[in-house]
Formats: sequence, C-alpha cells, structure tokens
Amino acid sequence: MIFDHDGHEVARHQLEHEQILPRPGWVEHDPAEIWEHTQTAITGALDKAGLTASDLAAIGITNQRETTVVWDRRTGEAYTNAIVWQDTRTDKIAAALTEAGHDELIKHKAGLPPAAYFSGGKIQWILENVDGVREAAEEGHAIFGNTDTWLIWWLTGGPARDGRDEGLHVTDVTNAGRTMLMDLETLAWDDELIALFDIPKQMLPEIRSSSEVYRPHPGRRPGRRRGPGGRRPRRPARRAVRARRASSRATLKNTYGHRQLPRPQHGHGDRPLVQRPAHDDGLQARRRAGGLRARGLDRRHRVGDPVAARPARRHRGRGRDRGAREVRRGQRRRLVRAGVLRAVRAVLAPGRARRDRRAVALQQPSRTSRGPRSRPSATRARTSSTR
Amino acid sequence: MIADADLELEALKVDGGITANELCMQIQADVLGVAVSKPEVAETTCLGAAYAAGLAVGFWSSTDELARNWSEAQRWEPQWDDAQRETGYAQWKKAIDRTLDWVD
Repeated sequence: MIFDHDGHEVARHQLEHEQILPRPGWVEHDPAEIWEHTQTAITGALDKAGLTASDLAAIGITNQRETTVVWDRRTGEAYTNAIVWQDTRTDKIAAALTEAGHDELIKHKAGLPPAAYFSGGKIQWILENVDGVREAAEEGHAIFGNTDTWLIWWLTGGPARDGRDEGLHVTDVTNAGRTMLMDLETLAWDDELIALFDIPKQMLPEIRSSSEVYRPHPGRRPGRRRGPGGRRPRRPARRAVRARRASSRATLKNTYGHRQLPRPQHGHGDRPLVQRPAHDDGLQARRRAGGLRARGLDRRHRVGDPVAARPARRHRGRGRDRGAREVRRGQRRRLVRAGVLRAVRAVLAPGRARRDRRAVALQQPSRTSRGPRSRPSATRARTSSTR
Repeated sequence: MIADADLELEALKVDGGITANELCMQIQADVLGVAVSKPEVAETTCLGAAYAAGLAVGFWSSTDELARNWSEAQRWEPQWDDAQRETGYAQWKKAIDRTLDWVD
C-alpha cells in the first residue's frame, strides 16, 4: 500500500500466497513465493498510482512473526519451506524444555512460556531434520530470519554478487522478542537461551529497533550509495497500535483478520501508548500494561489456531502443480525482461525525504485462497481460514 | 485488560477485513457494551508500517502529526441493555462448558 503525507491511501496491490499443509499440525509457506509476490506487489502498486521508485520516501514492512526461514546466504535459497507460527511440529521440543525445568528461565528472560509457537524450537527443528543445515550454519552459510529478515535481506541486495555487498541480515526487537532467544532486558540474543536450542549464534540476525534506516540502498549501479531507504519490520497487530493513536480516554483496538489480539491503548491524558520509534518498541510498555504475557495470553491465543489442526483436504494432480510453478517462472522472466525487477531495486534508493513523496508499506501477502496442489511427499491443501 | 489497566473502556477501535461485516461489528458493540469505531484507513497495520518508515526518514516529524491524520469512518453503538448482555453472556459461558471434555 502506498500512503501520502496525510495518511490517505494512494494505491494498493495485494497477492495471496499459498498455505502449505503437508500433514496435520504442519503449516508452511514458500519463502521464494513470498519474495516474488513482494516484488510484484511493489511494482503493481507503483503502476496503479502512476508513480516511480523515486517518488517514495521510505518503505516499511509488516510481517507475520515467529514464522521461521533458514536459507543459504550464498544463493538465497531456503533449505526448506518456512515453518509458520501456527505449525505445531515442535510441540515436543517445547514440552522437553518444560520437563527439563527451563520454564522459569525462558519466562524470566524472554517473557514467553515455552511453546511450539515461537521461533527457537522451529530453528532447532530445521537444524535437526534438514540435511546439511547444521553444518552449513556452523560454517556461517545457513542463516535464520523471520519473514521480515528474509525480505530485508533480499530488498537490500540478496546474495553477494558482481562485487555488490550481500543484503543486510537484520531483524527488529518485536520479531526477535518472539523467538524465545532474546533477553527482554538487554534486547540482545541471550547465550543461555540459545544454548537451550543448540543454535549456532552466527545464524541469527542483528537486532535493531523497529523504526530506523537500516541501510542506504546501493542503488541502480553497483557500489553506488544513495539516499536513505528506511525500512522497518513490525508485527501487524503491534504496528497497528502505533498507527492508531490513543485518544484522551482509554480505547482498545482489535485487528480482525489475523489472530485476534486486542491491545490496550491506555494513554493517560493525550499520551499515546507508544510515543516514538521506541527502542524497546512497546515491549516494556506491554509489560507495564500489566504483564499480559506473564498471564499466559500468548498461550491462550495458540489454542485458537484452527488451521494447524485441520487435516489436508482436496487433492490435485502433480501436473497442475508443475503448471502453476511454470506460470510463476514465466511471470518472473517477463518481469525481468521488462526491467521491472530492476525498478524494484530502485525503489530502495529513494533520495532525501520530501513532502511530496509518498511512504509505502509492504504487508506480507496474506494466506492463500488459491488452489491446492499435491506433491509426492506432501499434500497441499486449500484453506480460507483467517488467523 | 480493563482490570489490568484500571481504566474505563470508552470505545473499541477496530481494523482489518472483517470490519466490513456490519453484523459482526454490531454484535461486538452489543456484547461489549461500548461503541465500536472504525477508522477511515481500515488497513491500520499497513499504515503503521508506513508511519514507522516515514518517521525514520523525517517524512513525518512526530507521532502527534500522525495522530492528526486519524479520522473515524463508521461507529456502532451498543443496542442491548445490561440485562440482555448478562443473559447472553451466561448463555455463552454455558455453551463453552458444553464443548469441553470431548477428548479423554
């Protein structure tokens, strides 16, 4: 979506992506599809608005947190599909932590109860179950990110090539705060927590604030640095708190369409809950708000994951599967030929912010309602459920 | 959350796709007993991302400036009285009870 200075919508382009359900309780996304759709959405919105990349002041990202991607930084290829927040395959990892008596440590440091929901166990699962990933991680090739990190890495360059720097491997505190790996006091990865999941530290992204310029984009020409390309990931629900200002009295907001996560906006007087691009980014505020997390709200939300428990349904032949993939490849080729993909990179090279420029926000594509597919080892099913 | 925050709830601000459903929003207002308010830009999540980005590069100077951009598009006032609400809530809790203990 592209917004103008008054906060009015200028244009939008939306694409749904596939919800892959290989077996009951498992929910996956294709990271390559998310990145492709992101590029298409950017160019689509610019086209509809009749704008070019240089009209944009900055780019912001909002993503589904917890969803875990591990990829090869040399090629940009994910080792396996993203494990989505809803996925419950790591139940046993979480239960083992509880049995081993680590509940208190994790709650105290990360502010989270051990649960399949959070990224830590999902990373561990990939390290243990996908061939070669642990070795690659130890050698510094396999890196982890939530979807924000995945997209920023690509948007800032992707794999290093032709003398150009590799994309930036960063995340923000709101994403890192949902991994069970970050200490809420220091806002840094915690060695003790990381050790519980046996995760090589070098595969974790750098933790930054939610509102800052992460890297001036190199621009169209290799090596050339241009103006700031602001980009910051935040979780939809929490970001919505930022966007919605508390009025003089108490109000509550609810985002419909994902998980139902009411957030308090209890600004006294005319003070908003989050006053500025806070470094603690609402984490502290949330704790001040009465220890919601400590009261197990997070855990309760997990119960409401209807998709995770739904068995795969409706099958389709492999031929159609190949067909869809071919269409996507063809679309990409056409985009490259038309120079559109190059234009996407230029989006990240905006000059200094001017009043007449537009701010654009990328929202991670929503779940798919597209047709299902099947694979030899995995059945893909369709779902129209909302989070 | 109201108990946690020790505050009166004045309104529930809503966003997201389901806000297009009038019935759903009216039920929300009736059950809560507070007004439900929907902003002009219902894609609040996306707008928030743009705001966070724009603040970082100085496109907007402060959150105060952002607050002035906010405007209400629609509002649903509660139409139930307290007795109706209490009866409904008791029924709801009963219904929840009936769904429990399926798995041994």
